Amino acid sequence: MHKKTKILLCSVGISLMLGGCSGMNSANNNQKSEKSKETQAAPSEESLISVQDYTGEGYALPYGKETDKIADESLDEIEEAAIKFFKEKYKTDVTVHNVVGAKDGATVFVESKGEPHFYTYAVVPIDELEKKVMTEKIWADEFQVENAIKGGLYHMIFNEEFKQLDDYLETLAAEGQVTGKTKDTLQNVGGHGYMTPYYFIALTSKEEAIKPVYDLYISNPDESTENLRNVYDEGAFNPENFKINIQLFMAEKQAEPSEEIFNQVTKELEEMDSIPKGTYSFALNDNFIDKQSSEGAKDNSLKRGFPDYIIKE
Amino acid sequence: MDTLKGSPNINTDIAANNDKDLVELAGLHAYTYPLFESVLQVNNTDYTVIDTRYEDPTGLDAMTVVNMETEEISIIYVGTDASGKYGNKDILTDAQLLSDLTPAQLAAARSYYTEMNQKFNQVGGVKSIAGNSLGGGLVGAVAVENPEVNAVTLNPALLPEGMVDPNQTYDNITNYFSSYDVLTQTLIALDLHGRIPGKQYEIFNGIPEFSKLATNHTGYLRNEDGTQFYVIGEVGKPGYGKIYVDADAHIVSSIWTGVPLYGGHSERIEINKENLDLLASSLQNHVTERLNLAHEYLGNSVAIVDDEANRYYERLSRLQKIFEEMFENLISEPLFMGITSISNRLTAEIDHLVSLLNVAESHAKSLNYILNSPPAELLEHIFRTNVSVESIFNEIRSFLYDLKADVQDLSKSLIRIISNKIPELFEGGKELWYDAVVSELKAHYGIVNNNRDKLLSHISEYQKQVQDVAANFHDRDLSLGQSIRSKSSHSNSISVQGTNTYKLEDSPYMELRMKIKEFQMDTAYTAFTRSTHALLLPLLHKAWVITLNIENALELLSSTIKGATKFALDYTIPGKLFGLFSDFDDKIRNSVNNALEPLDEFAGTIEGIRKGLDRLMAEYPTLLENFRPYVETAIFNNSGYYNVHLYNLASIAILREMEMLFDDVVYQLGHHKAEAIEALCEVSKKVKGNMGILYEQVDRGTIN
Repeated sequence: MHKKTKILLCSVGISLMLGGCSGMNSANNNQKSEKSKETQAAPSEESLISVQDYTGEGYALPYGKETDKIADESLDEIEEAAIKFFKEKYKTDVTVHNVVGAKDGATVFVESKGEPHFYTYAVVPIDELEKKVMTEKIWADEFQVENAIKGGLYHMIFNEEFKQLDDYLETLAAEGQVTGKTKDTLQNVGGHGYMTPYYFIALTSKEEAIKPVYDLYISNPDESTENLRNVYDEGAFNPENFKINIQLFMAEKQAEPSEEIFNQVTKELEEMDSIPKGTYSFALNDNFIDKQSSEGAKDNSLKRGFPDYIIKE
Repeated sequence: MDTLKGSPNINTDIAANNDKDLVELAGLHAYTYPLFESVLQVNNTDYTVIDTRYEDPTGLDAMTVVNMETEEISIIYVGTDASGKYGNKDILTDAQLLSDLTPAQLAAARSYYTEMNQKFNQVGGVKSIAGNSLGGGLVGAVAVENPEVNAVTLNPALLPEGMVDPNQTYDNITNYFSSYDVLTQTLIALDLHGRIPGKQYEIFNGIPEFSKLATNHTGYLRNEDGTQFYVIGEVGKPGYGKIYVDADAHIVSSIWTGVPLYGGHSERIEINKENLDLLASSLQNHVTERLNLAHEYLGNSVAIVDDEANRYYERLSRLQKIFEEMFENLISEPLFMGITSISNRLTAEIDHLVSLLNVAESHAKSLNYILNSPPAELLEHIFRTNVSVESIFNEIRSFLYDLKADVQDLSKSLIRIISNKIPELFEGGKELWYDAVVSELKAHYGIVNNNRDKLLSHISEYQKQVQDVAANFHDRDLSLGQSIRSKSSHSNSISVQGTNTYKLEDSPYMELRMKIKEFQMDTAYTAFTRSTHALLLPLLHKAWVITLNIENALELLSSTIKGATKFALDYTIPGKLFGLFSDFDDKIRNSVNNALEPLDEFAGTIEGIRKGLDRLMAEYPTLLENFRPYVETAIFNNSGYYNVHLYNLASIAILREMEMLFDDVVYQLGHHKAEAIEALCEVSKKVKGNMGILYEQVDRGTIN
């Protein structure tokens, strides 16, 4: 419901909500970031925000200041174009959450409606000189969108296994020491495929097992989960090509990433055998997230990743 | 790069990561803030982001990626936003700021490198670093201190003074400067590029337009379908097409090792079946693909030229119409409307003046009649008076006829200018074409087109030869081995694609390159100015003199009429006597008025004509000035002409790159003992030679 209101307000163009969407506060942020660029060595404390408070506000892409303004004036048009684009090209209904100015265009953050569930983005080219939004030329990084859909399909057909993982992470968060990204963040500046507050799925181009599932889904978006599951090519699966990237934050603002929790989680992840097969990475961050990039991993983060992944075969 | 794989004797140390991938990561992906552990696809290779640093207090933005094929690790330093408030100034500011204000960020970049290098020490450490813009500056700062790391930049910022040792060569650093990048070009102009350490190579991507500033700088743009191109021309019009600008596609690297070829040749490889196969497949795929793109560009140039040629009459008649309108509107004098046609308003007006003159004359005659028939009472006082104006009337009449003839001459001259002199603006060139610039380009492209087809055939034949040699190499080796073992002689039939001669035709055209238009414009317009001056000005002047004469004669006429009657009325007899015969002097006065009245209108018109002529003479140079841009567009549509230049520029960039590639092929195939390789080397030299010829020919179609 909340989501819907937001979209409605966005499209109505109420400036306050526009701010939430992209306009107002990215302008604010841009001023800040511009200042920091100009002085080069600006302190970045102000670029960090508590993960619980972050909604994607402040996210800004380089070279996006002008395009952001131009995009703001055509939000309805952009939204319409993005919905049409995903419907036509990927047979998927999406909700548009946010539009952020970027170089030569605007990045449109979308979320699929229903299953398979995923977040991704499209790009609407903008002619800065003509101040023109070229919605007819909307495009998306095929690799990224396909991966997003494939990740969503994975989640769909391995629902059971993912439930194990989700339950585990939710229980962990419920204990109060760690937390994840807010839903708003995922919606507004997520865009990385299948995402939950605690992790996102990444596939390499070598991941073949899901390919027949993807093909079947694209040829018939209404195919039953069971049928989709049936065409999954188990034999082609290589955990290296299917990555689940877990990222948790300390729930308290002052807390440094806890070694104890980090060790506990990595140990438990290593031990669990009913969670989805694949390559797991894990980062435990302090409480803060970088506004502009929406990245939580930092210098002090405790990380388990390349080359020492947790692999579930 | 797929060429890296499956080749046994490749020196992977030279390029830890392919420069192309690094450039794309730095110029494109770095600007999208990929998340920790996300996967990116670059030139069909997957990269995983294994560390990010976006929140550093110094403003440093960087990420560490691993190439999932080779497991090699690279740091990508993110550049700054150059499209900020001050556009290109920002880029310069970046560079300048870097000189004294940001050692903190440089230090952060260095420590990030050290940190990552240690962190991933177990898996080989950081093999390469890359960055664009400010990111490139950071790369330089790291790489000067770490000669073991392979560093690649695209349009980098310069380093603070004193950081680069002029006596060192910094062979580990490769900088790519885009031809139209403002930052690096400015640094070169200011002679500051010495503060960018390492090798500096120009890559020919981008488009020389101010609006493309930011893109030329980052080497990438976000465009439809993620492809990197600019749209040229207008939809539905000839020459509508794309020019691809992605920086990495313009980096020329060895077919065998993937090493960029700017600094010379790749390291000697062994010429064996695998490597010959690699050459053949690269020729078939990469080289042909690039050349096809070059040909697509050329095709668009040709389409533009053909279109101009087809529209010759349209361009000509538009220009004629414009001249006509300009001349008629040059002075806002309605009398001169339609002067560019034989039956015009002015000649009609002159006829009207003749009739006015006739009216005046008849009134003058009746005046004489009245003067010569005074009432009897006055006769004794009056010496018969005659207002003698006949000769003046005749003179004016003859002036009017002269004027009419002159105006007709003027119209004829204008018609001659429009129908003869304007077409002459187009004429000239090598073969005295009637549409010089377009025809010369067309003639040139006739040859270039032919040559590009020959070159393609040449390359595909060459590719076949390489393939055949590779196959025979292998077969022969096998069968020789077998022969030796089985002690039986083995006859081999060798079939290799024969060598044909592909001699590219010389083009005698476009010797002035794209200056031909300028040249045509200057010579033809000077001639036009001169000849139209010569045609028009004497006529205008003559007419002007005639009008002056008419005005003088009119003056004389009216004073004669007035003078004579005044004399008659005022001096010959006492005035009061006339009062007695009031009717008579009224008659005289009326008659005088009647005679003078048409002359007033007459004089007004003549004055108007004279002033009009005056202004025409004075304003004609202005007309020529205003007319010039129209001529320029008519000779060859300006934007079309510029687009031809852009396409040709894009096309020669590729030809230049392919020539570089073949240079390396010749080098690798050279000095081999095997006859077959020698022979292949000869052919590749010829292919390279032909590429050079085509390059030179296409280059003639660019402005510089």
